[in-house]
Amino acid sequence: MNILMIATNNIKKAKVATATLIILIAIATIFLYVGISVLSNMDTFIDEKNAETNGAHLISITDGTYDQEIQEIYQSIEAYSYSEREEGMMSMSSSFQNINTGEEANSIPAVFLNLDTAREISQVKIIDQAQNMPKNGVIVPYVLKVANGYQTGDTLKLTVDDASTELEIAGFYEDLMFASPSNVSMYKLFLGYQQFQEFLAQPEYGSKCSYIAVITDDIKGTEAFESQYIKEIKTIMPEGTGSYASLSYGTMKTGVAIFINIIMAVLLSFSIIILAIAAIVIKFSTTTHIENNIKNIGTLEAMGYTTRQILGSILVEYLLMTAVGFMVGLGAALLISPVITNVVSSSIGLRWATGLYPQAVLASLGVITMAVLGISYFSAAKIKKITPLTALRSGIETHHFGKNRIPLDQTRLSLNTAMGFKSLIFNKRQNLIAGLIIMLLSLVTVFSLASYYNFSVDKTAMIKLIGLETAEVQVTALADEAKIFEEIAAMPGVEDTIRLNSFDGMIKFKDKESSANTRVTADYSRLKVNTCVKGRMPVHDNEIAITSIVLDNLGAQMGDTVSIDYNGTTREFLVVGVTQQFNMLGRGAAITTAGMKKLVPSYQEQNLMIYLAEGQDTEKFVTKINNQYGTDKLQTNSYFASIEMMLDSFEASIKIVVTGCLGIIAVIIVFVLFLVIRVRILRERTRLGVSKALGFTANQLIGQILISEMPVIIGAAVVGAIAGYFATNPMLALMLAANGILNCDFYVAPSLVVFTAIGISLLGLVTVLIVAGKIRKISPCQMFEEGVD
Amino acid sequence: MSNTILKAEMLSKTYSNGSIMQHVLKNLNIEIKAGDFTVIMGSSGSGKSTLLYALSGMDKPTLGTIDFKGEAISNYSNDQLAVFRRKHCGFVFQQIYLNDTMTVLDNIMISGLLVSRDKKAIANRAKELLQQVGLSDASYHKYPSQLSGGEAQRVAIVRALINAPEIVFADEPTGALNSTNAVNVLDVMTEVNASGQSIIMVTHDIKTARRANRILYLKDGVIIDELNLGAYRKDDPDRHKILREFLESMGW
Repeated sequence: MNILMIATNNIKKAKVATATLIILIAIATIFLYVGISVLSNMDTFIDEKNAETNGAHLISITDGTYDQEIQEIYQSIEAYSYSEREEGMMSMSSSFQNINTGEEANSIPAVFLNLDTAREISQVKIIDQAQNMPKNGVIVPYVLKVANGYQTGDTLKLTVDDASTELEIAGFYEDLMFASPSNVSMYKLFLGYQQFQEFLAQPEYGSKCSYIAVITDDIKGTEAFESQYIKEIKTIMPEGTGSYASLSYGTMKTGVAIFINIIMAVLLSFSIIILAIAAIVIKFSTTTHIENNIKNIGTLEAMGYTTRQILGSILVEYLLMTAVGFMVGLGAALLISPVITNVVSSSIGLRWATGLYPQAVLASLGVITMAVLGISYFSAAKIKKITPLTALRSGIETHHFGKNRIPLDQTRLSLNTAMGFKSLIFNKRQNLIAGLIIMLLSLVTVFSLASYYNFSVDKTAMIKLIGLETAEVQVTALADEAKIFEEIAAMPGVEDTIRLNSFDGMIKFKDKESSANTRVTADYSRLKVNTCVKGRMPVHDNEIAITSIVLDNLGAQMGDTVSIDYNGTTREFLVVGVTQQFNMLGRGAAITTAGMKKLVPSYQEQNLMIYLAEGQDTEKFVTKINNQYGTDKLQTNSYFASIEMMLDSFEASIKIVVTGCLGIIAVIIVFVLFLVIRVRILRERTRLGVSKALGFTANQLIGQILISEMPVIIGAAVVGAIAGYFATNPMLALMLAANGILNCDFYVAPSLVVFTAIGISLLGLVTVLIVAGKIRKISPCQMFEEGVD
Repeated sequence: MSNTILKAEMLSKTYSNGSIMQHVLKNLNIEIKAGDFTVIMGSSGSGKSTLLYALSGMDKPTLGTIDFKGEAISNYSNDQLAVFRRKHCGFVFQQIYLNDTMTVLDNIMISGLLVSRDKKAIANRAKELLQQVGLSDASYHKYPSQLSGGEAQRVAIVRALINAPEIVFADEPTGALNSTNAVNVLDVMTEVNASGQSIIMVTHDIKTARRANRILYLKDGVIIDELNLGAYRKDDPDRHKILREFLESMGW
């Protein structure tokens, strides 16, 4: 008999444990492989995808007034290579609705470009192109196909205030800069020449703009390029006038991958949890294996096998299981690659192709093998201490001399309840392990469901996390802002208005500098979303609150004095608070209007956040404002709805990930309890057989097992769910820490905790009932003579 | 017969393992009378334990009927059999099979509480029986691993007797004991029988068999012969001689 034979023989004898472990390893492999392959390839994928179309390194969209000056700014920056300018049409208050999918109208600004314009930069490669480009044909971002289910030939209704028209989707395009509305809340749409010219001639749909794409010599330095551009453009264009957007490749690349990186981090965490569960199963199985086979071990030792060889056979056994589990997992990962492709593609808005990545295969195989072999070695190492004689005498007896906590002659419990509790106490080690697993899974369930709720059902907390206000409408006044804002505030249906601006500021501390989207308002206590996590928001004109990411970049902290450079003026501000925001890659700051006036004495906020009373129709309100003031005086958008829409693109991915996680949690609970009960019946077969012989019915014995597992399952499910209630936000903050998030405020409904606890308890108890039901079919003498496995 | 307590007719038990059929018991007819001390003997694999388990309702026969006091228990469901066992049967095993995680008293109580809810009465009866089999009150709260083999088997006998069963089934109760302990246990069993309870015991041991008033000898699933020692007193030297001759004739 060699080591391999012993190992395969052990596997054959422990079919259930083997199957459980293979399934756990397979699930861990799926998550680990998918997580590693996506995370490790994302960077290269985006670079290659951008290279395919010679994607822009920087894009600026302006009203065209300063095209010449902008070109000069570009050329003055060292890394500049070449650029292209084309005419476009900017629509700030547009909303879109796919008539065929029956979706609700989405409010989102859009820039329309002429498809027929010859371009070197960001070439348009059409996916699912219509056979003939209709006159009203439009090429839309690929994300709408993969996340929203748009199809070529669908009708897209464009509404801008009172004007509306129907466009026909003639294909999709990929462009990192406009890949996903979660990254840039703006659509870039391509129209045929004739339709484009007609739009330009219809000012009700938007205004002409300049769309400039730049290629630099250094694709890794595009953020610095953008910072330089922003710094210069401010000297010629006052804040809030004419510049619609500037997007750098570096910022967009990071931004587009944030969400999928979080999802993959969640998958990796989940795979680690599953590996931890597998480790528990290994420990449990190894101990049981040694206990059940102690005489065989003794025989082998007596035959001359060394303990090292026997230990080796156990390691080979787990190595074989790892190999099978890994292959099954890898196969399953490749099998579900369309789902993964869909999740990734809908998150990043680019066509992701899931394939076989050798490095990811090796990395995940390495992690799983090390984990399995490590834990199996430590679990089985006690074999070294067993001599042939002790093994042949069934090992060192582990007698029970503990206190009898439930004496049957004194207890008030019924016989079956008392027996159940006795069993609970006796099996405390296994129960503790099972309890820990269930608790962990209960916690993850609450976390998953709460994430789903806050991402997909009620997005308020997510929007707060992003760092945006929850105003229904945002207006930007191009003239007469004081008068217009006063009138709007007095309008019926308006609950509150707050003037809130933002600008791209360059903050300096000592010899370091960092760009930050700097918010400006008179009184931060009036804002509905408090982004301050430490200290306080600025009150005086010399105070500033900064996000932790910017503070880290600067090497500054609360109490330090930083300076802001704006339009040639520099002013110092005292850091009085730390804020957090998810948008702008977590780079933000906040100063008061009075503080801003120190930089620009004539400064006036041009943006107004409008909070409507409950029940007010946002779209109607926007139309009313636009009709009253005209789009030349005021740009209006349905602020909250556009953010919600931006989050909608994540909904499909979140749904798939959460559903997958919940399904796997259920499978793990079932398998772990199956294993625990099955092994317990096996180990206690004699006791159960004798009990049956003494006159216990199968139902009584099943009841005893159920009673003994009930406190563990229900207790762990309840504790896990309650822990999930408290841990969801800290866990989320931990995951988003890299994005500067220190605190999260996701809503975890108490009912979610209750349902999770009830659901997991029921699942667990039903599993126990079904597995323990095996007792029913076995006669007592069989149970103590042959066992049940 | 008015004093027949257990009766098996055409009793057969067959185990199948794939296409291989193993006929362990073949068309047995047995009648056990109240107060009988019946010993089942035979070589290994002859079907002794299978017969014991079938008669006690621990296993169902493949064919044939088993009547307990005129009621066909072979038609009972598993749950009915469990209730039958708890009320009418007591069991003593070679491996003793006490629950290692429970004290002596609890090991007996679990059996008693199956029939009665009067904890105090059961505890008192358990203590009384323990005293009768020579176990002092110091043993009540000991765990099985703290007892000698003989003490543990005596506890098992008390567990078998706690519900005052009509029949005690014993599967080689002295098989794992040294000679002194074996004698002690057999003395207890003999006393139990003397008090009117029937005993059906499987054994390989001639000294054990000598205590019985009836010996059934099994070979290949068939009772090939039986010996009645009822006519001889327990201390009659002929009793042993006749038994030895009987067993020798069986090829012992």
